[in-house]
Amino acid sequence: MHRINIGEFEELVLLMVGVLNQDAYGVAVMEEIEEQTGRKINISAVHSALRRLEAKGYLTSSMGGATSERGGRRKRIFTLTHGGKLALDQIKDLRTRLWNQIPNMAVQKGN
Amino acid sequence: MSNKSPNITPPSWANRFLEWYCQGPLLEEIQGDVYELFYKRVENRGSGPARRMFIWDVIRFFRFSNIKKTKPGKNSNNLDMIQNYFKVAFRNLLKQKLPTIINIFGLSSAIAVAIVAFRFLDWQNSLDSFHEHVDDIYQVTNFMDRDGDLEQWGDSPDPLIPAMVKDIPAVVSGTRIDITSGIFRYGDQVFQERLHFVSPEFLDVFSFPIKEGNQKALADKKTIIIREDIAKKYFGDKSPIGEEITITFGRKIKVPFVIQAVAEQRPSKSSFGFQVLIPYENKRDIEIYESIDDWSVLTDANFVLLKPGTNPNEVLGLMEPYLKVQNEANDSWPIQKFKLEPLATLSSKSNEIRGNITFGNSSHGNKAVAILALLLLLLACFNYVNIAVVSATKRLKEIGLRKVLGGRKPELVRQFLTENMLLCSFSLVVGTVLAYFLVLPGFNSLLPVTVPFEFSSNIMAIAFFGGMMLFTTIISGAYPAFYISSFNPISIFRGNEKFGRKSWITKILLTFQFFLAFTTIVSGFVFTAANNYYRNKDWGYNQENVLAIPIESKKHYNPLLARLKQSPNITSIAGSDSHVSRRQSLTNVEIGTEKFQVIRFGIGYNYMETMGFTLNSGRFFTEGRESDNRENVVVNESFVKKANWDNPLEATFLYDSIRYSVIGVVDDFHYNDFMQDIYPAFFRITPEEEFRYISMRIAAGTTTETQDLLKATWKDIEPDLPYDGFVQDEVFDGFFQSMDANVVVMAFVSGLSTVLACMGLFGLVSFSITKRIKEFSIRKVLGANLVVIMRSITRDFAWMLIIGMVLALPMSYMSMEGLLTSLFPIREPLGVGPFVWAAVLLISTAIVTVSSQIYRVAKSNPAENLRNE
Repeated sequence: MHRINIGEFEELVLLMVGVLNQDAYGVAVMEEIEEQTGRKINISAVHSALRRLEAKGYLTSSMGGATSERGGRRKRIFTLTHGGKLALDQIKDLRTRLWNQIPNMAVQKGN
Repeated sequence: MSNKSPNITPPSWANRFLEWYCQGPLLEEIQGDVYELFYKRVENRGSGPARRMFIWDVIRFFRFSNIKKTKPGKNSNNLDMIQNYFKVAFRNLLKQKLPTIINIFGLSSAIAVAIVAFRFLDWQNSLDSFHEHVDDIYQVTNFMDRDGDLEQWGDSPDPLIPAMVKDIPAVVSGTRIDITSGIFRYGDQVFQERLHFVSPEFLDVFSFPIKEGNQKALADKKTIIIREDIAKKYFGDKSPIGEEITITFGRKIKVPFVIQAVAEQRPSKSSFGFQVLIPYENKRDIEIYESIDDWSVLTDANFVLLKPGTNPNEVLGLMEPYLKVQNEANDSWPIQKFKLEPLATLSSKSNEIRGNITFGNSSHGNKAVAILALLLLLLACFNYVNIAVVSATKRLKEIGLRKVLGGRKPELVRQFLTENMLLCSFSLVVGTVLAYFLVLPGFNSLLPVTVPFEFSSNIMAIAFFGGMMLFTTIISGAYPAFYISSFNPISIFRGNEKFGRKSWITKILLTFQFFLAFTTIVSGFVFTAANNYYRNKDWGYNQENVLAIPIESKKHYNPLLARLKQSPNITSIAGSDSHVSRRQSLTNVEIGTEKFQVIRFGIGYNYMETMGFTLNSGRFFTEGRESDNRENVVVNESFVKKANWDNPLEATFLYDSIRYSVIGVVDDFHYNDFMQDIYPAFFRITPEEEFRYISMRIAAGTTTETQDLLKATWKDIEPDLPYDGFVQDEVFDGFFQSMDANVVVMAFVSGLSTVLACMGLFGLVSFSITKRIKEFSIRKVLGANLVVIMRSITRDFAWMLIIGMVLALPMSYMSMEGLLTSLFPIREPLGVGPFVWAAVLLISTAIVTVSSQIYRVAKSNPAENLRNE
């Protein structure tokens, strides 16, 4: 199996890019994370994660149109690549498989 | 955003900072994001928080991946060039092995010395700073008039502290410190220990760390605090807390104490320490006080703790009434004024305050240390400059090529400075290692204290190493870098550049190096001469073959005397209260209407004969003469001089309300080490009850034997007390050790500066020979003999050596004259010896250095050298 080398925060960012579909750029991803998880994160952390994911081939990017709230500066729009989708699938599969293997006893004990 | 206020903008400096560091391709999206966030935040949270968060974002974006740098295929090649500089620098250092070794050795040893010198000064500056209240602690000192000079004394009246705490609101607390010694006994272990009587507030004022036990132990009169090493000495690994010990004080008063706390070893940052702390109250039981607040009794040191931020001069104003009280109580020692000496700078005043309790080097000494370190550093840097300048010819082609390919002067300067920085940082590392493992331990072994390697603060360490790096790089690298980079490429390739051969700055620097080397060698010889002078100096009495032993009372005196008199090895024996070099009293006498400070020796009959004083005129004391016992004295020559007597044997003076007549005059003698002027001194007879010493003259060659006898006899008579007998000849050993330490330091410094200067010379000569090897070969082929070649090699260097030495002569003479006068008041005049020796040494080292290179020329085969053209 192809190994997915991706951290927890990167996974979150990758998921958000998928969620936002054609609208994923730095601030949007940050706000989406804040909204969905309640986590406060710095914009610079999002940028690094996006760039690392792009370098790993899970994301691709292109410059979008200029908008007035950015003082006329363009956004870099990120989209999932095929590899990115595969990676998310694999992570999900792994999670589900492991989840199903947890005996009910353990869960009850945990409660 | 329609309702966005156009007036609110992010802080412009933060934006500029972002634009400055952020690399182009990323700037647009990053800037866009932070602006977008900013405007949103202005709307939601107001402009203030938005601006703050904008700044925070910009700072957070300042990370490696966002910072401008060269990317493959981009237009800037700065990083590549810097990489290239390092590569070329590294290759060059490896290629020119000899100059590199000379430079690194010179720089690193000079840096090692500089590190140690800096540590020493830094350590002294930070002495006592560990006390929590350091800025508000002051020692009360007084000024006394001594024949017109004001002298600062560290001791002050006993009742001063309680009075000040009571009368002056700004005085929070205070402690007295009185140092004495006593016999410390636990079980069958008995030793003499140094004791500090201190007020219960001692540990409130000072912050000496307590290892275990009760911090408030001194509040109870019968409980004491001992230091870790004392605890270990008597109790081993057992805890001493709660143990009872006894201390026997001077007047045979034996007091039991309970140990309540153990203090940590003396912190290395402390200018004074203690072994045993005893509550001050006990001092009243063992010393004679006229009343509970007897202002005539002095204590060794009084420290006050003022309210934070109090101006000491305000307190000083309120101390005025005490002057009167004290001077009335003690009219023979009138004081002129008090001074509050801050603890923070107390150690630097140690040498000015008489009767001080702190350690500190004299400020002259400190300046000398700093100057020497700086000079050595300069010497090493100049070696680099010289070698770099003369070896520039080897790199002419490289420089020319770089210029032709578009290298501009600033870039070449940067390249050479990079090369130099590489060398300097390497030397810094080697120097630090040298300092840590060699120079600092060596230096510490010469000092009575230990200077730790830790810096007083991290900032200090960073500032020092950073400053050192910058200093060495710029001093050694700036000139060569600008010099070499200014060459004109066209003339380089035409071959008519003759750089590095006749550089005036090289000559000046080498001359300066010889100048410094000569000066330091002279000082080395001068210190050695001073040391020899003191070693051979007449002590003023016959100190050889004399043993002495301190005793406590008649109980020891009588049986010891009876037993020792039987020994055939002891030719003469006497008791005394004072003892030359160990115990004497400073007191006042009246001659006519004038008061003089003099030293008093209380002695028994036969003491002067036993010690071998040289009688100048008159006679010694004769046993059985009633007048000798009561009113006759023997004085030293200084006394006669001070009193201005023409006929001393008929003179009299008043001491302690009794008129004394002089019956004899002895030569001046050294009762202290040789650093102080000899005071006027007089001897008078003391009753046997007061004897504290027995001195004996023994037959030559029987020192060990008689010492063993003395030891055995002592053990018989007083098994409870330690044996403290000593050989008179050895009493100044501590002084001689410190003198030897000076000589070792000076010898090291002058040796190092000579080696540095000669390495510079070696480098220059070997370059000049390499360059001119063809010329010499042709000369040889045409029949020149070695002398001619030698002359042509050495001419220039000989002149530099001679000029350097001639310039150094008056300079070193004056500086040595000044230094010696400030260090040693008693000394012989500066002779020519040191200068001649220094010249011989320097010239011969230079000759050896040059001749090794001349030998190279002489041995070389001219055909070999000329073949490859």
